Amino acid sequence: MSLSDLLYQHFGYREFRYGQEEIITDVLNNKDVFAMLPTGAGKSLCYQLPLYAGISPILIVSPLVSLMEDQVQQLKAQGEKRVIALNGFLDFEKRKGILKDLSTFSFIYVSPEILQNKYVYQALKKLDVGLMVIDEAHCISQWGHDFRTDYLKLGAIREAFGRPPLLALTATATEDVRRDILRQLNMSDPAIHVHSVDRPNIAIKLDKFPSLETKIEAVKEYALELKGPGIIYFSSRSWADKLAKALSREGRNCASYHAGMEQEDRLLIQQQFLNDELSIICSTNAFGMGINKSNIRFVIHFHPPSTIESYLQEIGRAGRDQLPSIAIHLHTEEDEFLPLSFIDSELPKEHEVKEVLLDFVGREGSAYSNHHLEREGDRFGYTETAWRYLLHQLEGLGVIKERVIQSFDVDMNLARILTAIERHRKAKLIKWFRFKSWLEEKQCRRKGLLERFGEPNHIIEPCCDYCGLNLQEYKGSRDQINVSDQRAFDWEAELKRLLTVSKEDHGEESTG
Amino acid sequence: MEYFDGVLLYIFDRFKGERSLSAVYHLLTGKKSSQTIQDGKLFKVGSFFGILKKLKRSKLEQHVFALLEAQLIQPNQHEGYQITSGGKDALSAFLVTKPIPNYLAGWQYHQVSELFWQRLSLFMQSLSYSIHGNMNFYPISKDEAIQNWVKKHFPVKKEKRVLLAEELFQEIRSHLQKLPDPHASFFIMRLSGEGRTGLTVHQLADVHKISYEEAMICFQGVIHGLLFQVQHNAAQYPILASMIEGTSGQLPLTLSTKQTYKLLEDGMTIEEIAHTRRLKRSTIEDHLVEIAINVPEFSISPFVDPKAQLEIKLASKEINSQRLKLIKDYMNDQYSYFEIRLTLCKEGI
Repeated sequence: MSLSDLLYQHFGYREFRYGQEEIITDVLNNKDVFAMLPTGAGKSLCYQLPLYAGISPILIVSPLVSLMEDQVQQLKAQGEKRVIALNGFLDFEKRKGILKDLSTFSFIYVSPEILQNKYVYQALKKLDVGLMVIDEAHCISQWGHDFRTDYLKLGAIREAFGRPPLLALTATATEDVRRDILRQLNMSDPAIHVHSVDRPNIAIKLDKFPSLETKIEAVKEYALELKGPGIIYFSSRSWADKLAKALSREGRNCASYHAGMEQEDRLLIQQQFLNDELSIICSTNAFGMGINKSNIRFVIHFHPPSTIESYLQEIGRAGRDQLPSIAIHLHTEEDEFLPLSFIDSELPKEHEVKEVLLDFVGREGSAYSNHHLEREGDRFGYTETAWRYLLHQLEGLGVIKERVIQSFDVDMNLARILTAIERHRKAKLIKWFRFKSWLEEKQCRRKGLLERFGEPNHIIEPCCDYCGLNLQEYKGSRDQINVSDQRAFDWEAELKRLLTVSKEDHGEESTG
Repeated sequence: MEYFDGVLLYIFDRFKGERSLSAVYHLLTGKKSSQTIQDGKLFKVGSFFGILKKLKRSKLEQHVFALLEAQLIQPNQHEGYQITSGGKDALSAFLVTKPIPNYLAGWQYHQVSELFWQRLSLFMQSLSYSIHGNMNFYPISKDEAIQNWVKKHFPVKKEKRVLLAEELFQEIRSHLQKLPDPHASFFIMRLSGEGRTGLTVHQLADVHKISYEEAMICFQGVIHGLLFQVQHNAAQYPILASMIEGTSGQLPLTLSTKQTYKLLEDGMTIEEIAHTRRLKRSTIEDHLVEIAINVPEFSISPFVDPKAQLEIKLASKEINSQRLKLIKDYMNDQYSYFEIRLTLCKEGI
């Protein structure tokens, strides 16, 4: 059966999207493949389709539990039952059962952290993994925008699994990050597919405001005028909540979404948005990962992301249906301090490192379970990222070996760690300044973004506010969302509608 | 005055100034401690147990501050708050416009209500989509235990599903018809199915222009009312009744208390249980109080002489207080705190 037949049969599409077929062909030829496709270009299909061409099982390393679960739900909704996600949220008994039957699964999603678990590792080692996929591969690079220490171990793990072919996927990686990925994963003679990060159907607009107040007014105005659905990004939960309330009061059908909400509420909001019952989501960057909504018409940044890669990823959630969409960045000068404090919160401070070292030096020889060690950061008041970072440093310096504290010199190691921290802080600052400088440029916005990825500019119409933009085209009537009048709600009729089949309804064809 | 202020006045009134602000907080957030459980029983506020699980302490303090400012309550020497005469008037006025739903039963149902709601909402969603010929939807619950339960109870045959949906419609309708219209609407608006996703409690509050607390208490009340019907008229609500299967007959006791109860039934004394379980005697006494509150057939006579029970009840009436210390003093230390506590808890049904 040809690839396009498989595509139609299992995914219901008649045609591949740009780049997919070439990548899949290389994967099927047992090559190591590095692929960079813009957000929304259909990356997951590149490793899902090979199953139906006979490659199994497929191991997918994915950095976010929510992303993993969304993929699993999607595959299940497509009728693929042989799919499982292994992550820290599975309870012990259940995990044991799954590991016993691991060979019955075709798609196995894992978090990099769970791969460090002895039992998971052993069970996977016994399987003959047909393809190993590293999703969001930029996480492997120290220069990537969300570096994860456990990603560094993936190269070695691949060797241990008998060196299956490898597919590294990412949406945004600059030249240095790409080189780093190939090196860290020890990819041999890889086929490299790098597609432009540009999303031609997304117009780019940059607005500057003298004060927070004027910016708030502007976001309200955009929210009322722009054609939805849309996402507005904020740097904090409280801001997302505050603006969602304000916009709702002005009559816009809007809700906030962030990790501080209860799971049930998050699911409801997500579905309302997916089903076009909600037109605007006010969100932290927790929203959007793995959201498969094709008709998002605008993405507004009320606060800046800390890197250009995050920016592209976030605006890339607009216009996956290829229809005209717009990304608007609202800038005030005071925003510039936000990423700085964010960077500081992600890295441990000198006195914090010293405190841990002084504590550990007296506990030479004590062993840890994986779990225990990861939790100990709370005791020292570390943020999760900062603690993970420090652990990685301590392992690198040999202060911790195989989860046992070794004997070590406090001052020498402190100095080394501080040097490393300073280096990372600088790297992150450089990334931020790269984005910040884009905000200050006087040239085509798209050109500025592409330059930073070593790409030439394309001529696109409409392009950006610098090249000229007619905002009118992105405005719409506000009544496109089907909100029923809740005041005249007839509960009995609604209950009946939900649970009874009308004459025109023929119901489902098949059962089971 | 906000709805939540009314609820607080109601609780302060019941507490008669004898319990601290922490007791109010633990009650509303549903802390499973003997003290909180005992408070619920002694002061007849158990219906509010755990109905605002996510309440922040700072929010509670803000409201108490506002009530103090408005002189509806005043602090007393027990670190509690006494309701003022102005507060009494405000409370009566509040209860006229916003009566506390009489089917609210936090303590009775706090353990099953969440499970019941999750099973019901996922079952409804699946059924609704499926009878409309669409099985491509995102489940409203990611909890695998819930998903498995629904799968296990979901009819395979299409005709059976249509029938079941019709029956479920009848069951829910016949219960909701007994409720005030807004409450019935609340419940239906939270449900998801073909053509509509349910609203969160926050959204529900916004739509009706009421506070989150009012919406939450109202919603919980409907669930509790449904559970009451289902428990007492299972034959009339067979589908809904199936949704609490595996939980019925379960006593709402904390785990540790269950173990103590089992040893008691095996014939052990308090001392022996304390020794076997390596717990303090006072802990076992706490367990006994919890059992006395929750197990109607449990007799306290082996622990408190029936004559003593009568005297303690009388003393409590005479000085019009549930405060253990006051009763103990009034009775010249004739009985221990444990005896007084156990008697009052058994009594205050």
